[in-house]
Amino acid sequence: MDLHRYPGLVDRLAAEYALGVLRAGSRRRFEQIARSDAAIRVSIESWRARLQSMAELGAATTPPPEVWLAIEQRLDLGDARRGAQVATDGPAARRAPPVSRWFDNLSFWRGWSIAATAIAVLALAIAIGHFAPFASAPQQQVAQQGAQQEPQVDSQVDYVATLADKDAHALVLVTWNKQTSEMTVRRLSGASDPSDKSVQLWGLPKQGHPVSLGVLPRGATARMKVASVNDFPVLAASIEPIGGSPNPNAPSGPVIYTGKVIPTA
Amino acid sequence: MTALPDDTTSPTDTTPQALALLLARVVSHDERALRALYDLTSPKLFALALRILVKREWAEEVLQEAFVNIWRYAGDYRDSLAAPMTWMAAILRNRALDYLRQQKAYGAAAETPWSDALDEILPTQDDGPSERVLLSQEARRLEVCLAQLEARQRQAVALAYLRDQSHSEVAAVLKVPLGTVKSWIRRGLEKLKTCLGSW
Repeated sequence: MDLHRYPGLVDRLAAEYALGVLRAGSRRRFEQIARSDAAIRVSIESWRARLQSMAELGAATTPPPEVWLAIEQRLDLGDARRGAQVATDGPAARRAPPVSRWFDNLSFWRGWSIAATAIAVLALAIAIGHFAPFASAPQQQVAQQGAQQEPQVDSQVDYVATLADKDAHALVLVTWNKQTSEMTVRRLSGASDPSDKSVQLWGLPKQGHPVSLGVLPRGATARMKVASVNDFPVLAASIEPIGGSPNPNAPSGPVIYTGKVIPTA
Repeated sequence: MTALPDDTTSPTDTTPQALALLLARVVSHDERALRALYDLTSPKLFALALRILVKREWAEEVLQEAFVNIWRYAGDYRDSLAAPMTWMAAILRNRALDYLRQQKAYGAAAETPWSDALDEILPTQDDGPSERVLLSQEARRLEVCLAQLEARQRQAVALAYLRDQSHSEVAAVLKVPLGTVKSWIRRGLEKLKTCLGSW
């Protein structure tokens, strides 16, 4: 279908797409056409640019002081107030944990993970069935990449991994939609985050060093964009300083969960 | 050249250039720069969180998460792509929408009601001059053009965008038929384009 034959149609659809009201099949079809039509992509981008500053508008409301205190605590700030102490005991000194060579060793990772998968696979079917209803919520891309929205009309899951601890308790369910590159990480019951640390997710490729898939936000469910989960036979999660491992190519803290990536089809 | 915001007094320069300088200092983990950025922008961002989430405690949580992310990802900011305020507002909105989805997943408050008090995204008498300066060029243009929409068109467009709601979700919140919402949004977008296109 040539959308350009109808005057104003491309622009209207681009506007509704950027606003977020073009949904389901229409959204998918429009994206499909936009992929091979630069004029449509330009139209979408200009609408995005027009609309994104809407978030800045409106009257301001001063937040309560507790919010800043919480931020200070989460980020371990407060050096400005501690003053002279900074010189000897600055953030760099406290934040740089030793990078363990041990965790660079891929065979260690793999050996660890195979053992943990048996029970995890059993938990899978139940977990997917249980969580499917809210996999259909509209998705949001990470802020750094702009206000782009992607469709998630059906709860399609192409790959799945259940991450388990050393005792083979499945604690985290990871699902990945190939079409939208959307990864969903759900903490199953029993999973808990250490309060002053981050949990970082890693993909372990067949060859080469671990690849960071991101620091998991707190809370039961996290969604993020990941380009190619299917490139990794195994996923793992490690405990890291707040913000993630200082080494981009390997965890610095202990590995707490691992699991195999399994195609669902 | 904009002067660096003074560290010793409370910062007042809210131009995009000044905010971009603060963000650049945050990249090198300058805590005072983060505090200055927070003092300057948190009222705007908190109001946005309230507009999306309505509940105060949710908005506080999301504001906190947004600044944690700003601290971590300030290095990703590109002034060629967006004004600092636009970038920070996008981070806040994305965190707020994620939070809303999580809450729905828990079964809490499936529908957050539209609060009339939070309705107006147009400037009011209460806005101080510093808040006006905080707006990016693009936001000011959009504000002028949104003012040309009918109130209900503007409300429907704002709901759809800020809360990432579908036509039918907007219709449910505003308690009008689906077709009505579709035409409000369509006409609102047409007007916006005509207005913004003339800048």
